[in-house]
Amino acid sequence: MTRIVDSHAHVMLQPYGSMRPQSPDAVLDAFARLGIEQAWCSSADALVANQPDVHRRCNDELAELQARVGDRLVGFATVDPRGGEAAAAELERAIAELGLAGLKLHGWLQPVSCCDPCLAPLFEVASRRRLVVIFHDGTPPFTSSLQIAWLAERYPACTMILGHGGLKDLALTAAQAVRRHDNLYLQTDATTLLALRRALPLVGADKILYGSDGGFGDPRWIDYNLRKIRRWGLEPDAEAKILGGNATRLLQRAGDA
Amino acid sequence: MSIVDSHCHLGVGVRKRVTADQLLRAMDAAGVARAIICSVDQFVAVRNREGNDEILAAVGRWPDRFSGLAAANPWFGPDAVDELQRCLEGGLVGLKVHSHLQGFILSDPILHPLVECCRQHGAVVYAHTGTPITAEPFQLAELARTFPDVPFVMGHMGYTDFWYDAVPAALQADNVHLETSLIDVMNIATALERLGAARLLFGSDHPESDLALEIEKMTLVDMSPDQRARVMRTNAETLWGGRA
Repeated sequence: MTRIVDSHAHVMLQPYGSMRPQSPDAVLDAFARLGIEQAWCSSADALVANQPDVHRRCNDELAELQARVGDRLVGFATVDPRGGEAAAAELERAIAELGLAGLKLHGWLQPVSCCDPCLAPLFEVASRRRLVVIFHDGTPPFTSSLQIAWLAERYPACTMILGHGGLKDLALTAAQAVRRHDNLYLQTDATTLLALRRALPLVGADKILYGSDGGFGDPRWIDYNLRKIRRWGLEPDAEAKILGGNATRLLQRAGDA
Repeated sequence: MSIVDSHCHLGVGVRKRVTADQLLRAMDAAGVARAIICSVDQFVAVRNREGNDEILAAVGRWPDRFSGLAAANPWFGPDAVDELQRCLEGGLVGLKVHSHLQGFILSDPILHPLVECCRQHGAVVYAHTGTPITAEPFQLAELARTFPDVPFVMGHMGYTDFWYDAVPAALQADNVHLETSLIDVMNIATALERLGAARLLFGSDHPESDLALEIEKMTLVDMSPDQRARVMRTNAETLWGGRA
């Protein structure tokens, strides 16, 4: 039986505009009902409220949740990406003291350009700790897939993930970037099945991870995204890697570092 | 339930590759009675006549299964209008506009002669939306307000990043239907609530997505039997059927 890991998920405890918060337990139950054993979660609240105290609180909440539910959830920290040394210190705290596994960045919502030098202290911590960093991608002007690839080239010790595989419109560049950079990976959420079918021979099954953005928006989107993988027509070995094998391997490697 | 799919592709292009036999097999397997087909890739962008001939041939051979849309890049000027006219007189039911692929902003008056041709023939304009700068829902609403007696279809409901815009844009122009391919369940539910079932059309965008996958997605949307019948079949029959 394939172990399924959803490598792109959120905890959302506060409303965002007209979107309602969701109970993390309900989201984890939705994953479990679909046979998903583990979800990599970051705080959606922190991505839309760029205040250091909010980030700190959200990282604390996520760590508490992770401690309570165990292996079902892997927490990814959020910090103010324009916060310089203070943000780097909060990332260090989230990893070393709270036990979170990596970093989530959403340059469109937060917002920050990948090419802004203010990110340097953050990526020094991420590089030293060889972290997995999950990015929102596919949205110009701050989160085009090739902009994130520039960071992947600059910080080769980090493992970076394109959280939407370029979305609908930049899928081609996402695949090009993942092919070019060994430390860059493609996530399946929100890109199209045809784009994934075209990416596979370019990047290989070892570089693609299933993700759904679950916990943000409607839980039925998790179901749709899983069905998308099932409808892909993958070889069993490739499907197992994409659904969970690659994610498990990446975290293992980061943990060994 | 026999389903009408308001957005399928047919043709062997650089990216999208699907033959009539492959599409018919996918339709049979998924319970799709009729598909509204348009061409692919280079045939939408530049080699319009070749693509249109293939669509015309498929509709001529399988009139019970396919209705077809023409492609005519407005940068070809009067030649594009002539080509659209040839297709509409040959039995196609509308125009497929892909302003991102064809290289213009959706509300650009460069498109107006083609829309006017559709108006004169009672044909529908289907527009790809969701790609920033060139294919935004509010650009479609601007166009639809300029031609209030032409029916338009908002392809993909602004997917990916213009999902907030789809319903507000549709509220600006009653002559716009929303087509469901690619967009997520939450936004289909929102559109149902705010616009009513009469404005929605099921579409798959096969093979960009997968016909069966998109039908499965629609089973995840809460709808009454009456709403489901409208979205999956009867709205499309009303919009396209009378023009077949």
